[in-house]
Amino acid sequence: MYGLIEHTDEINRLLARYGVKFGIYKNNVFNERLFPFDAVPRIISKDEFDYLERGLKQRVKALNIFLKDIYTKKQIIKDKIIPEEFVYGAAGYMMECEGAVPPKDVFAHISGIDLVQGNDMRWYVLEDNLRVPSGASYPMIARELCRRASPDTFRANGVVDNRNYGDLLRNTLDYVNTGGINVVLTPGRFNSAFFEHSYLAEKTGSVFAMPQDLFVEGNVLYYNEYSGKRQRVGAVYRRINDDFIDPMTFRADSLLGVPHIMDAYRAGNVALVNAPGNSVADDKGIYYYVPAMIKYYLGEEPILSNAPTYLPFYEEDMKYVLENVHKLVVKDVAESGGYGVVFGNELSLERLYELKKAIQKEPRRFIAQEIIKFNDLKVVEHGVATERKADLRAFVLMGEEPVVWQSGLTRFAKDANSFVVNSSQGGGFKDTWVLSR
Amino acid sequence: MAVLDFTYNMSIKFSMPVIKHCYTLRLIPLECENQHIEDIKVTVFPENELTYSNDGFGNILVTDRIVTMHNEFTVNVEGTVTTGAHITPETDLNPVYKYPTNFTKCGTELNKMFDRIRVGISDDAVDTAMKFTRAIRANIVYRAGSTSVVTTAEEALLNGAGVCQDYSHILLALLRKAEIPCRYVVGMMVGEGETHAWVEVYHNGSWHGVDPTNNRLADENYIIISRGRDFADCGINRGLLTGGGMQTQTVNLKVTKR
Repeated sequence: MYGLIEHTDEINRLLARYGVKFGIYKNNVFNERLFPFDAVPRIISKDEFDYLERGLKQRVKALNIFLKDIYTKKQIIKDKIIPEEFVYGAAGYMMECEGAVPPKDVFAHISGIDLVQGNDMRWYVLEDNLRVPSGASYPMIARELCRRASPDTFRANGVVDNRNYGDLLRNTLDYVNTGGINVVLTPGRFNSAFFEHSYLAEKTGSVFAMPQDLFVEGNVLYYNEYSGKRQRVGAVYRRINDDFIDPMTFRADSLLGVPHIMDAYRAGNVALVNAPGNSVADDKGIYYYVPAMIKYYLGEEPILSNAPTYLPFYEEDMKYVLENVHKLVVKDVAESGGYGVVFGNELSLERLYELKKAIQKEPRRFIAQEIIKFNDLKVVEHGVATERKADLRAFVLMGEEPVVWQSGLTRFAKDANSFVVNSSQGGGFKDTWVLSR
Repeated sequence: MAVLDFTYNMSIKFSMPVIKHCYTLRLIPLECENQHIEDIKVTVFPENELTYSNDGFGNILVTDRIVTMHNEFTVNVEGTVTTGAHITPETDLNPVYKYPTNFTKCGTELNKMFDRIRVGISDDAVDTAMKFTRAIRANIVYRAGSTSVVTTAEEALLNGAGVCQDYSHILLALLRKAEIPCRYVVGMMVGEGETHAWVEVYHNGSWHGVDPTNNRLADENYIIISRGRDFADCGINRGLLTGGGMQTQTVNLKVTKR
């Protein structure tokens, strides 16, 4: 492994050359930033990963059934497992998707489940990302470069190869394809994950398309070849958010979308990967109910735990949150990407008071969680070993059965004291090794 | 029961040629519990591959994508509809109709108004809606052109004037505040002019049509085209154009009772 660490700078140089960047909008200015790579991997033993794999498959299966239920029969609401306002009174539910069942009933084609490991070595799920989770390409290309830099390391340590992500993704696209080509749809190079879009198009053998390359006629989606010939599209791995994907259905001012693509989707003529409307599952209020969902839909005990979470919506939880807010982390349910997260222990008395008022005024808007004592990971900073908070984004791909990618994106916080690991907040990443024995 | 014949004509003239045009029309009367389509003819110019779909509310969409140059866009829909009472059979409620939308959010004025009229709330949602309707009519007057397609319920109330869209939005806002599920309806009424908008109220498991603009219940003189949470869900003509310059739109609608 030391052979690998020696090559850290070189690997980072190569990553920069390949365009492994992350773009951030700050005060409306777009800045591209390198995504710093730390060569010390996160290592997960075979047994431990087997456990995670079982739990992740179970979780994603339940979430996928939940999405279909919410947009069709609404049985979980009728049975009062989840209060209706958490679904139909929240921004995540999209009436435009009501009654639409995607090809092969798959809503959550690619799920990015964020986990952390506590210092008691237990894993906790922090959030579910079922919209357009990004990040798989970073450990993929990092592994590629690491293997070049230090091939012996991988031979000696029995690390499961993670370079098959493209094949797994392709299987998912093929599974839901309604007849036609697979397309990766990018909004363009000003998207924060443009590198990833192009890399995954290459690795899945899909056509890499911009919105203007696609059009809908007669409820069928076509790709316009440079020669003017049209090709039918059967599956679109779209890296454009729901709001922007179809100006005829959603935001009329979107220049990134494909007009009428929602009509083609609703008619069952194309698979959109992931399905539109999934944001209802990403809602932090819904997160609270995932364990209940697993019991309800699958009749199983949840294998993975949520972080201890309180919903001020319930009187008892409200009382606890108000009394303990100074040692909790409070999250705005509609926000993502590390925005809208406040740590009670970092707030002045005045701000704490304001936060309490806000929670009392809009209980539905917040969740509160115990701050987990992380098992910090080693990183090398300026040649010196130190520690950082880190999480793990595991990727689950849905085909006939869910498949968990034997790796994942490990992100670490930028500063020694920070708990926020989101790339959009300036952290770095590591490779994630799953051992084969 | 009544048999209604209708003719709807819309024409948009462009000052400059349109070179690319995608459109979604919500103009076909619904085939539903309250009404039956006997006959219908749809003519759109220009057309390429006219396509029929449904949206999440069950409304009928007519869509197309035109890549030939044109200076005019015309739509003609005519047909015959058998209509009846505007009360649906018992049906499941999508809870989404309980929650305010951008157009129907209560601001200071609506909240004040609600506080004044909340005594009128009874177990009968239709009766409540009629009481609210009378209160709305005491607060705003009908004036064509006094509001626009982006006017919210709050703004219309503040404005003191509005059209059917505004009467309906205000009623929706007040009913939702009273926790009565309700939805926006676009349709046609016997007579001449333009399309009309009213409200449906969920009561005892059924939807009942209430027309706040005309202070009456919807009846066999009304034809339903589309339903949604508010105006935004029921757009009659949504288009995406390249080129076109200035647009001049004319609409003619005639509904007669046999």
